[in-house]
Order: sequence, then structure tokens, then C-alpha cells
Amino acid sequence: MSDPTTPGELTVKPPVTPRSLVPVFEALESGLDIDQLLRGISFREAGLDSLDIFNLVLAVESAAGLKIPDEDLGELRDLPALASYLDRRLS
Amino acid sequence: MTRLRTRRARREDAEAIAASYRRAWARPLAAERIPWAFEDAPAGPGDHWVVEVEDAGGSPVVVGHHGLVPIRCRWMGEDVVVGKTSKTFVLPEFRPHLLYLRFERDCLSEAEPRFDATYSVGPGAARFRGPLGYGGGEQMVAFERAVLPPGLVWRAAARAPGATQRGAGRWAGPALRTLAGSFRTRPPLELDEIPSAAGASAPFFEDIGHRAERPGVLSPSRAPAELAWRFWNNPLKDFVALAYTWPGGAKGCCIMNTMLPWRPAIDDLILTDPRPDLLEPLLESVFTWAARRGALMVSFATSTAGQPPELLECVARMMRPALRAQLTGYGLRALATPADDMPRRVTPRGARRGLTQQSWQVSWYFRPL
Repeated sequence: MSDPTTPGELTVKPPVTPRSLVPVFEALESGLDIDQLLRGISFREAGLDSLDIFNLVLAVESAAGLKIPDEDLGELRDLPALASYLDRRLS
Repeated sequence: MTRLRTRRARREDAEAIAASYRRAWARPLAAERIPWAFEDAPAGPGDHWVVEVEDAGGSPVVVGHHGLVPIRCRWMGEDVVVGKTSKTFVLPEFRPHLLYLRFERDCLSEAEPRFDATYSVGPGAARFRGPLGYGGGEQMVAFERAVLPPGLVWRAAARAPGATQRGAGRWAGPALRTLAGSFRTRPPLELDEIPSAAGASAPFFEDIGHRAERPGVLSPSRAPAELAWRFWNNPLKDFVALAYTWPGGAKGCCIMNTMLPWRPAIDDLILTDPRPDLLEPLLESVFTWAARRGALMVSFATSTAGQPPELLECVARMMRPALRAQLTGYGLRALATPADDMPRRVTPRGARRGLTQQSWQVSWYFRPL
């Protein structure tokens, strides 16, 4: 049986909330403080570098079944903004 | 909304790429290095791409770049083409608007049919490019060797406050004479000094590349055309080859990068016979050459993978690990230069030819480009 937390098996469906994205972050095993992210700290302030962002976007794209174009990346500064963006795209 | 656009770079982008690179890294870069690396290599034109944004007037401005420089290597008696990642950057203010690794992944998939392998050199390169399939990167090792011009101690003593030549000689003479005598002023080998201008036509290089190849290991081609591109026609121009032919025909050569006169660097080290009893006098003679030119140290960086252990031991015996790489151990992390990784990736084309991560046991004693 495969690991249920594999990012590829997670799904994100509307309504998307910050809390509903927590499993995606947990599956990344990046050591991030999820509570801080839920409080709205930016990804950069939380210590995500470009490699972490790359892995995060791939995981989110896989879970949500959509492609996030580069021009939208600028607005995805934190977890609430990411949730809002996904909710808008998926609704 | 910031909309970035990516496209393949053209020769006429060189100035814009160099200007943007200088801003991104706060490092000098002459524009002529761009066509030299990506257009004029003997292995053929390289692949490189720019990231652009439109300025207020609607004109495109280069804000990022990524490239693969084609380097011809030899493996199992054949030429293979290896791409080295080069001049990779995005200006800081645009980094949040580009998923950089996706851009590089797309570049790689577009370019990889013409490469047998690709590799990258830099601090953290193995981790950063891991998601793109790069791996197996051992760290480069940086060595230094202090050299002291024979007259320097005397000059320093003579310029000490209140010291006269006579006075300095009186109080320090015996000690300094002993010290100066410990510095070798006559090299074990009288090396031929071949400047860049003479490198392309020097008979010394006609066969050394072929003879220095090792069966079954990957090594950069040292064919005359490759050496001409890497060194003699390099826009830096500040290269000197120190060459020697032993009785019996063995050849050895250090190609010195003299951009920093006080610290010339061994950019390539070629031996037809990988024997420490040849390497040791060659290096000793290079140190003497550097001291005579007024240098204070000689540097050398190399990958450890696949090198004959006895040669690495010889280098480690004659040189010290670079101070800048050791500072972390003294709590001076901010001043330290982290070691470079050298991760690599075999392409499907290389795999079809039998290349594997293990065949990347390189026999190149030099800092790769």
C-alpha cells in the first residue's frame, strides 16, 4: 500500500481554505512551522527558498489539477493568499 | 501583474545579458564572454535563454538568463558533449514572479537531445538542481600554496620603521639569510613558458591531450581546438602554459590563470603519465615560477572523483586546503567560501551510449570551466 501522504495522491477541491492545504505542506516534509503559515506569515519569511517554492508549486498543481502560470506567482505570498487563489481558480 | 517572457538568447543579447548579470551578482562580466561561451565553442553553439520583461515604454529588458556551455569530452575513445550550466541568474526583484526551476527544466528538456550529460558547479548546486535529476555530486576541493618571492623578506625588513638596509641586515641578516635560503630559487624543472598568443601554434599541445586520456573515464578534450577555445582565444587572455617534456617523452603542463597576479590559479593540469614523481617537480617548479613573478600564493581547485589517488595525495602534500574554505571551522562562516558541488545528470542520449553516473569518474585535474 502506498503512503497516503504522497503529494501526488492529495487532492484540493473547493472551497479551499488555508487549513485544507495543510496536508500538502505536511507532505512536503520541509520542516515548516504550519501554525505560523496559518497565521499568515509569508513563505519567504517562513524560510522557503526558491527550491522549496518550486516543490510547493508542483505539489499544489498536482493536488489541485491545474497549472499555476509564472505571472500569478507574485500574488501567492502566503498560505491565505494561496488558498484564496486556488479557491478562485477551482470554483 | 509582472509578465515575464522567456526565449532563446541570440548573439546580439550579449551586452544586455552581461549588464543584467553584473547587477544580479555584483560581479564583473565582460560582454564578450557570452558569445565566447555560448556561440564559439568547438563543440558547437551552446543553448541559452533569456528572461525578459517589458519596460514602461514596451521595450523588452533582459532580467534573467540560463545557459548550457557545450564542452567536448572524451570517453571510451569517443567524443561526448557535456553541457555545463552557466550564467544562471534572475534579478532579485523578479524572482517572485518566475518559478525558476520550471524555467530551467523546460530549457533542459529542449536542449538535452544534443548533450550526453550536463553538470553544474557551485555551492549548493546538488540540492538546488536535485529536482531536475542532477545528482552524485561530490564537492570540489580548493587548495592553496603560499609562495614567497625571494627578495620580499629583505624588502620588508628594509622598509620597517627606522630600519636601514644596513640596520636591517645587522639585526635580521643571519635569520633572514637562513629563511631566504629555505625558499627554493632554482626550480627542479626549467619550464617552458607559453603565452596565450603562442598556445594555438605550440607543437607541445599537438599530442598531449590524446596521450593524457585515461581509458574508461570521462575527461575533457585537450585537443588543440578545445585548448584554443578554453584558453588561448578566451576573452580573459590572461593565461600562461608552463610546460615540460621529460627525457623519455612524458609531458606535463599547468595552464595558469594570471588574472590575479598575486594569486595565479592552476586552471588545468595535464600529465601524459599520471605519476606523482612527475607531478611533484612540476608543481614545485610552478610555485617557483609564481614566486619569481611576485605572487604570494598559487591556487588550484579540482574534483576528487576519479582522480588517481596517488596524484591527489601528492597535491594534498604540496598544497594546503584553501583558507577561505576552512574559515567556517573557525567560526567565521560569514567570511568563508562554501565548497562547490559538482552534480551531474546523464541525458537519454548519453545513457544510450552507455554513460552512467558512475562513468563520471572524471580524470580531469582542473577546475571545470
